[in-house]
Amino acid sequence: MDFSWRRLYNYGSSLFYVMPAMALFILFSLYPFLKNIELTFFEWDGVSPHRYFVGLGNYVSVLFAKADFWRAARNVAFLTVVGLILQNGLSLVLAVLVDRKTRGASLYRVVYFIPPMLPAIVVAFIWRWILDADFGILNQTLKNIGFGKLAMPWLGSKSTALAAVSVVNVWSSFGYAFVLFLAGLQGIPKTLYEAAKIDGANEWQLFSQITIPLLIPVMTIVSILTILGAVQSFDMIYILTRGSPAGTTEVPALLIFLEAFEYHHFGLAATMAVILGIILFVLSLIQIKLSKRLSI
Amino acid sequence: MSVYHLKNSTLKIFKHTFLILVAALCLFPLLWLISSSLKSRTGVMTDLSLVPSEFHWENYIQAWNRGELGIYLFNSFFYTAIAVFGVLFIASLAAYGFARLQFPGKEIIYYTLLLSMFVPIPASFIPIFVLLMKMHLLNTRLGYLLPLINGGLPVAIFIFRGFFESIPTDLEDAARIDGSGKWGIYWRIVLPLSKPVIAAVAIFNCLGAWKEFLLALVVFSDKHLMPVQRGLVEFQGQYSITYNLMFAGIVITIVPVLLFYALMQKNIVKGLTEGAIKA
Amino acid sequence: MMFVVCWFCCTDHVKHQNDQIVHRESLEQNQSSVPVVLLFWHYFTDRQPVFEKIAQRYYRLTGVQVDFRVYGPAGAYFSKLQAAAQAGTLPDLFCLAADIQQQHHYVEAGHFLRLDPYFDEQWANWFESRTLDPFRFREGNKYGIEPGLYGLPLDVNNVQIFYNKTLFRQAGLDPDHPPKTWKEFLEVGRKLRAAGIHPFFSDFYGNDWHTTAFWTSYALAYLGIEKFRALVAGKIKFTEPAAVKAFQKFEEMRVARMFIPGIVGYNSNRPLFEYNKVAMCFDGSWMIAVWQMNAPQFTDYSIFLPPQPEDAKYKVLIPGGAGAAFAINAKGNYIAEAVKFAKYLTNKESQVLYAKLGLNLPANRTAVLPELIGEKLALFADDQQITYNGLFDNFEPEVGYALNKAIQEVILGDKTPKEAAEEVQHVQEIVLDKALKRHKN
Repeated sequence: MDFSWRRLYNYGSSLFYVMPAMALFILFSLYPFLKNIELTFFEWDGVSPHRYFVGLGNYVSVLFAKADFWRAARNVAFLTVVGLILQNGLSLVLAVLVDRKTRGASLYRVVYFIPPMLPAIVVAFIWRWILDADFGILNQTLKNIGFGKLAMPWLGSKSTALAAVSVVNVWSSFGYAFVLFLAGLQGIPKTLYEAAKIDGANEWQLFSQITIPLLIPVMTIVSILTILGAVQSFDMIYILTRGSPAGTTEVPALLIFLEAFEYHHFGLAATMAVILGIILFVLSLIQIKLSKRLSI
Repeated sequence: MSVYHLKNSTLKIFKHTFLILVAALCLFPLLWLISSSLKSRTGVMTDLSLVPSEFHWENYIQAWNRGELGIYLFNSFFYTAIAVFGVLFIASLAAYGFARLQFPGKEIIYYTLLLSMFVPIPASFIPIFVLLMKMHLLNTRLGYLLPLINGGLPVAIFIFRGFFESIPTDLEDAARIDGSGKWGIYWRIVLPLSKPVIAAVAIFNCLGAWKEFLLALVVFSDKHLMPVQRGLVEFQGQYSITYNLMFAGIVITIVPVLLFYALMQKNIVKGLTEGAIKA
Repeated sequence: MMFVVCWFCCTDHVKHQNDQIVHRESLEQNQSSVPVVLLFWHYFTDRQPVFEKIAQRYYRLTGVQVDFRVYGPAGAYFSKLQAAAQAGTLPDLFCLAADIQQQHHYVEAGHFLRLDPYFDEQWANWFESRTLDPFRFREGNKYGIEPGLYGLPLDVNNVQIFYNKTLFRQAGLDPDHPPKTWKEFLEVGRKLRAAGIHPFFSDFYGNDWHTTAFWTSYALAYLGIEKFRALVAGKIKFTEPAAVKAFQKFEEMRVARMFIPGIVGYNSNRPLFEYNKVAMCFDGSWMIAVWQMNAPQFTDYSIFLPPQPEDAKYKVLIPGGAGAAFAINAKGNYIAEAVKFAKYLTNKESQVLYAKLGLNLPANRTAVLPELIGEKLALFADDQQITYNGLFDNFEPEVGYALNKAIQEVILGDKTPKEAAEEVQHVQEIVLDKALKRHKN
């Protein structure tokens, strides 16, 4: 056994760095988290002092008997993919463009972060107004430029509601990815670009050979956070559509909320949350492993 | 990337048009919010123009008084400031530990931390409430701040660790040869190099803490401890919302965050990488 | 900076004790000499000034202080209530959801005081019996709760169909004779649509109650109360022809093009009814106060009951209930005092003060004075008798949600009434099956 006091001291002093975070985490995250997992094996209405033990019953229910949960999962997968492509693509392009030498860059940077600052109630108000079937600007504009046939109740028809919600999501969240990409771009040394330019590289090559590869760690962080944000997004959906029409904009977060607070099945809600979390976690682990392989 | 001098002028036009379009899409709602806040109660719904027909500046005074925004704003400033500093300090410490230091169970602890980020807990406020009650911290500022700071930790640690790990190790090795200990490396090398990330995390947590409401409502009983979001509730009646006053209140609450962001975002682009590498 | 933080937090901790702890300590010291403070939680920001006035009066009368605290909005309030219930720190009195069955688990856990022992005849006389039904648990209710009264309403309302007289005139319809039968209703809809006016609107989006409420009104008309109760209990199926007819109503309205486009996702901010954008609106009496505030110039409207279908054996009943209601903490320290205050809060004097807000009909029928409540609200006053809330156990929430979705499909024309009924029946069977298994444990 390779034991030494020096190593123990080393470990001990290293632990100090993690200690404050762990203390808070154990109290306010781990404890509720473990209680939550415990709850998945019971049925509880949220108020009663009694709980009924159901063993794996909740898990069986969610995995095999809850079609709406999986439909909601497909919905949120759609939102996530749109988020990953549109949202992150947009933020990346914008970050690259306003990094420094653009006129008014500072102003652009401030403006692009306005959407995340607006409370959900304002966002919903504005977008409902834009997407209004009769009086919304979108439909009015379509009618004015002759595309009146395309004007439809965006939030009120099964085929377009989810797409409409995803647009609102992209709009209100791209600011976060934008800021992170900006931060990430700072980590790329100027000298690399200068050297490449001397070798005769054009803008596109600079972007694809230097920027993108060096941004991969940041992109991983951003995509994991985007996935997290999209999957856990609740406020926006709750306030815009609450799952309508006919469940086409249901997302797991909404169903978890309904299960807990309206149907009073906290055990089942906790189970859905755990299953959802595990899926996300696994996806993210895969992403992290992939990115480690790509950036070497 | 100042090396991107887009000499081609049509590309330049495209670039600026694109930037302006997106900016307009982002700015328009804010302008609309401000404009609605200056309209009369009935005008919010009927007067659709961006420029209000009459400017009801008194909405702001009314919003301030009715919403008792003075004391609430003070509380929000306090909570947000503590939360931001708390998260920055604690998370960067922890992330440095995970990124650069060794101790048993490091990865298990880290992934448990991450797992908590991924599994949403329905009604997490219930166990937190019971815990705070047992600790006699209900209705206290400390009782609110602790879970608030904790809420921002997983994401912050995740972001920090990612960025810390991508810092080239030669700088740290050089410092270690010069006799720097763990703390020295953290304080004098890693942190200064991470100014952009720190600014980003500061912004995210500022926004998160500022917007937080449910935990505050559950933990606090006394009105004078509540954050600013409580003030906005004054305009929500059971059946209808007084939109013009509420929007005025919202504008008042957005201004501090916007200012903070405007200040911070300059830090994001103030890269010091070149200086460090040259040294 | 750190010093300031520490100082703040420490002095807070010393100063601000948990309210319940204060109560308990004062109880231990000396019951008679310490002034009693009743804590009353609610989320009705617009009623706070009236509450404070009533509290002042009560203090002058009895020396008992009532501390009204607003914790809103509604969603956050119920979360706070739940946390407090878990920790055993509920206040002496607190506001309820409009339908006590939604909080049946609180009653089962023994948090709501059963008022019957305290509810003397004089007090009971202040209310119409129907007004209190949404707060009673009936004999043989499915929750196994001891039958009785567990909450009290402060104001009541009911839901009918508002119609815009101006638009009616525009379409060539008689504004003083709204439709009485279902056939007339469809005909009116067609005429309005032909005149280029959106005929009908209601909040039929998401999980909103308007959808199932409208359906329930008609299901009761076709099934009658006894059979409806059987439907809730699962003894009758949704696919039974009489129940399918209720779904059919939506189809008939769709065929007559009565719905405003996008009604199932439609939660427009733009005012519709009060700005002459739609001719009819299915909503509750509280909208009168809302329109008075948001569109004071709009007065040319009236109401009519959901029209009776010719082939319905029973009468159409309407949704109705309380706007604000409250319960007394059965585990509180000052139950006697709380009950006394509850009586004061619902007496004529307080209700008159309360009615001046104009939000709803006062619960105390002696306070329903036309000069107080205004002519529009007075139109609703007599119809409280034909509300259906409290007459039956509610559906399980999942069934309600499935019903909502199924009706939305019918409105969109993507499912036939029979298919919708089958969908809901399917969910009902699963849910009842689960409930049965739970009870066995």
